Amino acid sequence: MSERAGLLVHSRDAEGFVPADVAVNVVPAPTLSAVTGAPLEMALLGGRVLPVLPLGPRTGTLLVCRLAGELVGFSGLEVDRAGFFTAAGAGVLVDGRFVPELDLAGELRNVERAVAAPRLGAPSRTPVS
Amino acid sequence: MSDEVLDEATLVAALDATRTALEKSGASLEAASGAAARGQSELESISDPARGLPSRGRDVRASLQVLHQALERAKLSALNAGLEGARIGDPLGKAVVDLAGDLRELVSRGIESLEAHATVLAEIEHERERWIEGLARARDALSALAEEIAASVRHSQDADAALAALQRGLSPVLGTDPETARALLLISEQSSRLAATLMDLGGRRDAATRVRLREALAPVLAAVADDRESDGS
Repeated sequence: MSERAGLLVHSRDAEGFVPADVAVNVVPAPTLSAVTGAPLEMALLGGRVLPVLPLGPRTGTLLVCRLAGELVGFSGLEVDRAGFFTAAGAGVLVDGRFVPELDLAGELRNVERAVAAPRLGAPSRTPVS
Repeated sequence: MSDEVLDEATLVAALDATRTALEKSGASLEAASGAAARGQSELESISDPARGLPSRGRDVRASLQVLHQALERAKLSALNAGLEGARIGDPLGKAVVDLAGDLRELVSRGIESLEAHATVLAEIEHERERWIEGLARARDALSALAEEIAASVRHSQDADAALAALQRGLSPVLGTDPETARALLLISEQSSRLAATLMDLGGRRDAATRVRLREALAPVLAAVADDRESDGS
């Protein structure tokens, strides 16, 4: 039976698995600044500006992940433990129960679409002839 | 002794006895005042260290907060170490993961214990506040008592002065002083008892008894005879 290395996390009452090749580290929650017109926040971490996606109510920690070569932070998660878990489909088995892998890349794509979508009522950029 | 003289002697003796009682009362009140003052002093000496407790409580809370934050950081560090071990993979990585897991468990227990201590500290602080409030109330009550006792001492002294003035005013009117009045009253009481005893002896007065009775009464008869001679001269 194969194993997957990673983190077990939870948000509100939902559990999730984050693979070790995605999770970079867990840091104390920094000060987060909202970004106007976008469902994300920004944080200054290690001298770099980090985009942060909220996945639930703020906690005391921030999970830093690497997605498509970029560092992205995820707030609203509590990290339970790190280790090796029995692989099971699109997730892992923990003490006999199935824990799905969090689709962090999907969450990021949703935010990117929301940011890229034109706002209702905004004037279109039609060149004047 | 005539009824009038007896009444006057009784009145003067009663005034004297009242003054004596007032003096004793005044002495007791002064002793009570001293005890109240000592009690106030004791409460002050207890209250002084209690005033420093709130700031010490804040210092302890601040220390616990720093310790809590440090343990939380240590817990995160253990978690990240476990993540690194997971990335390293089998077999070395597993050892690191296990070690990090144990460390995180120990730190978590430390945090739980610290939070329990913080709860106990909060309860102690609450009790301390109630105790300080109780001390303040006791201090106020004792202060009020001391004031009342001091007022009673003043009143007692006023009453004693008034009685002394009354005695001085009555003595020339009554024609007797307290000491004489006390002596006259004592003589009156003793002569009443002597008369009663003589009445009891009445039927048993044989010759020998009469001789002994005369011997026993000789000092009294001599004193009365002296008085009659003085009145007569």
